[in-house]
Amino acid sequence: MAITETRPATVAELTPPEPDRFVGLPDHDPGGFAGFIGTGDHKGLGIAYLVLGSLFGLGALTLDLLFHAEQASHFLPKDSIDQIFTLGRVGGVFLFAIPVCLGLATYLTPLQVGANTVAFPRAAAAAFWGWLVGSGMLIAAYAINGGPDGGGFKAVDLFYVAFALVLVSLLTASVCVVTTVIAMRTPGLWLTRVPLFSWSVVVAASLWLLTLPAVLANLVVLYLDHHYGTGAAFAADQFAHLGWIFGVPQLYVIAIPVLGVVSDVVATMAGVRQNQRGVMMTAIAAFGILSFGAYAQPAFDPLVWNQALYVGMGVLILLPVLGAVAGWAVTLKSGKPSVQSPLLFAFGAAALLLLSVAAGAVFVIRPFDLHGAGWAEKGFVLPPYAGGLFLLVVAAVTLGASAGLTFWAPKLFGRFAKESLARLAALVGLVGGLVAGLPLLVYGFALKASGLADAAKFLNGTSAVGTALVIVALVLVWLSLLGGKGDAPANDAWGRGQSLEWTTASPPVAGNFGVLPPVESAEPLLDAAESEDAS
Amino acid sequence: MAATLTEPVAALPSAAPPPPAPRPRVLLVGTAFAAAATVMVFVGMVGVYLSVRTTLIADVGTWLPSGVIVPLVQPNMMLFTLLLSSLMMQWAVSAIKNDDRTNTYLAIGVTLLLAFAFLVEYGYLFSLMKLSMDSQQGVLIYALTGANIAMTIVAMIFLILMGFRSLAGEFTSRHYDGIAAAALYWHSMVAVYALIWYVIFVTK
Repeated sequence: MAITETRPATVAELTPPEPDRFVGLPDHDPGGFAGFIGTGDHKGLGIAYLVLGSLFGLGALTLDLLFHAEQASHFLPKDSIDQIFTLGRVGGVFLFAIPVCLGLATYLTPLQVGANTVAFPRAAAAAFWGWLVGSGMLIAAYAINGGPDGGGFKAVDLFYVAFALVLVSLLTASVCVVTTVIAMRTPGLWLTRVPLFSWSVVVAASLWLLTLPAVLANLVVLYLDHHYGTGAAFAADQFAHLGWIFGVPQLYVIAIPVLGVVSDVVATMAGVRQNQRGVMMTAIAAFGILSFGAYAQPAFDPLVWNQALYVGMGVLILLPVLGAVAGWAVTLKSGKPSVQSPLLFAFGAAALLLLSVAAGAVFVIRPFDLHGAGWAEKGFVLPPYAGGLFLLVVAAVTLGASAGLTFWAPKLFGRFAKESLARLAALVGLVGGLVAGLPLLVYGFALKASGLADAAKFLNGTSAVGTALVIVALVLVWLSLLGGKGDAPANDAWGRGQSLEWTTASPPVAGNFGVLPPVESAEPLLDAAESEDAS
Repeated sequence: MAATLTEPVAALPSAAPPPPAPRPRVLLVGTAFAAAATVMVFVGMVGVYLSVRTTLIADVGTWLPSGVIVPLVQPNMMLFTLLLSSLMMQWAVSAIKNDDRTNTYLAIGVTLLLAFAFLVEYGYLFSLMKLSMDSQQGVLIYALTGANIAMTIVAMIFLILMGFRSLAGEFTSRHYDGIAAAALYWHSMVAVYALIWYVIFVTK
C-alpha cells in the first residue's frame, strides 16, 4: 500500500468557502421587496427593526396612555383594562425598546468595528422575521381575548407561544450583534478601543442573554400549567409571574444601549476624544451588571424587597449613571460642542435616565414602602410608583433611540434629519417623559397619605398627557427623518466623526468597507486628521 | 501607497468588496453566547423549582405528591450515558485536530448514538415515575426535563449539521471551529443534565 507523506488537500482548501459574510449583497440580491424579504444584510434588517419597532412603540405607548386616562376617568370594562395594561408593558419592552436598540445595533455595530457584515447574517435575518411573526401573533392573541390572565383558553396559549417566539428571536439577534463586536473587529481595534455604543451593545446583549432566558423559563412553566395542567398551580395569576420584567432593576436592561448612544453622540458633537474612556466603559458595564434582575421575582419570593442585595443593587446603580453623566460633562466642557438635535436628544435621554435611576433608588429603600400600594387591577406587581419608573425608562429609551436615529441618519438614510422638527421632537420628548413619569411617582407617595389619594384623577390624567407627548415626539422624529435634506452627505457627515462608520459612504456601500488600515486608537478618524495636520 | 482611512473608501462604490479576511472563532464565540443563554433558561427554571419546593416543604413537609416515585437508578445511568457522550465528543474534536477524519466521523456517530440512548432512557424514566401534570411538582419536573430533552435535540441537530460539514471536507486541523462549537454546546447540555440530575433526582 502506498503511503503518502502529505495529507491530501481537502475540498475546503482547494476551493475557498462560500463567503456567507456577503449574503444579501447586490450581486445575489433580486432587489425591491423580494430582495428585502431574502436579505441577510445588516443594514436592511437594522432599518426594518427601527421602523417596525417604532410603529409597535406608538401602539404600546398609546395603550399606556389609555390605561392612565382610564385611571383618571373610568370608561373601560375591567377585562380590557388588564389587557391594555399588560400589552402596554409587554409591547413597550419586547416590541419596542429592545427591538429598536437591536435595530441600531444590527445596523451600526458592523460599521463601528470595521466588519463587512453582522455575524451569522442568516440567523440575524431569521431572528428578525421570527420577531416580526411572533409580534404579530402576540397582538393577535390579545385581539382574541388572550394575553396573561385572558379569557380565551387557546388565545392565552397562543400568547405564550408568541411571546416565546419573540424572546427566542430577540436572543438570537443579540447573539449576532454581540458576536460581531467580540469576534469580527478589524485589526488593531481591540475590545478596549471599540466605540462606546458598540461596547454598550456588548454589555446590553450579554445582559439580555443572561436575564431574558429566565423570562422564557417562566413562560414554559406557565404554558405547561395552563395548557396541560389544572391551571391552578402557576397559571392562576399569570401576569404576577412576569411583572418582575417591568420593574427595577430588570427594567434598566433596556436602557443600557442608551448610555452608549449618548456617549458616542456627546464625544462626536463635542469634537474631542471621550475623556476617561476606561471609566466610561466601566460605568456602562457596571450599569449592566447592576441591572441584572432575574433573581428578583416577587411572585416566587415575596420577601425579595427586604434583601440587602436587592436594595444594595437598586441604590448602587445610581453611581455608574452619575459617573457617565460626569464623563459626558467633562467631554462637552473640553470640546466645542455643536448643539444640534442629536445632542439635544442625548441630553433628554440622559436626564430621564438619571431621574429614573434616582427614583428607582428611592423605590428600593424599604422604609418608604412604595411596593405595597397598587392599582387594584394588578395588585402588588406593579404599583403606580413602578409605573412611573417604567414610563421614565421607556421615554429615556425613546429619546436615546431618537438621538441614535438623528445622529446616524446620514448612514441610515443618506440624509440629515430636518433640524427644526428634530429639535422640537427633543423638547416635546423630554417634557413628555417628565410629565408622564413624575406624576406617578408623586401618586406612589400620595397613596400613602389618605388625604392625598383624591389626587389620583389629576395625577393619572397628567401622566396620560405626558405619554401623549412622548408619542408625538416619536412621530416628529420620524417626520424629521422623512423630511430630511442633503441627498449625498459626505462620508464623515458631521465633519467630526471619530469611529470607523464615518469612513464609509453615507449610506454605506455593499460590503461596507474597502481595505481598512490597522486601527491605532479608539478614535481612528481623529488620528488620521491629526497626522494630516502634523504633516 | 499606504492606505489611509479616508482614501480607499472614496473610491469604493463601484469596486467589489475584497475577499474576506480570515475571521477565526466567530462560530465558537456565537455558540458560547447561545450556550450561556440556554443554560440561563435552566438556571431560571431551577430557581423557580427550588423556590416552590422550599415553600411547599415548609407548608406540607414533603415535596413529591403521594404515590409518585422518582427512581435514581435510571437517572444515574442517564448521567453516565451523557458523560460518556461528552468523552466521545472530545474524541471527535481531538480526531479532527489531528486530521483523522475516519475517527471524527466515528466519534460523532457514537456521540449521537449515546444521546439517542439518553432520550430513550428519559422515556423509560417517565413511564416509571407516573407523575401527572396536575400539580406544581408535575409542572416543574416536566418543564425542566422537557426543556432538557429539547436542548439535547438542538445539540444533536447542531452536531449532525457539523458532521455533514465535516463530511463535505470543511474542517481540518487548521480550521475546526464547527466541531469545537458543537462540542461546547454539547458539554453545556451535559452540564445542564447534571444540574437536573442533582436537583430533581438526587435531592428529590
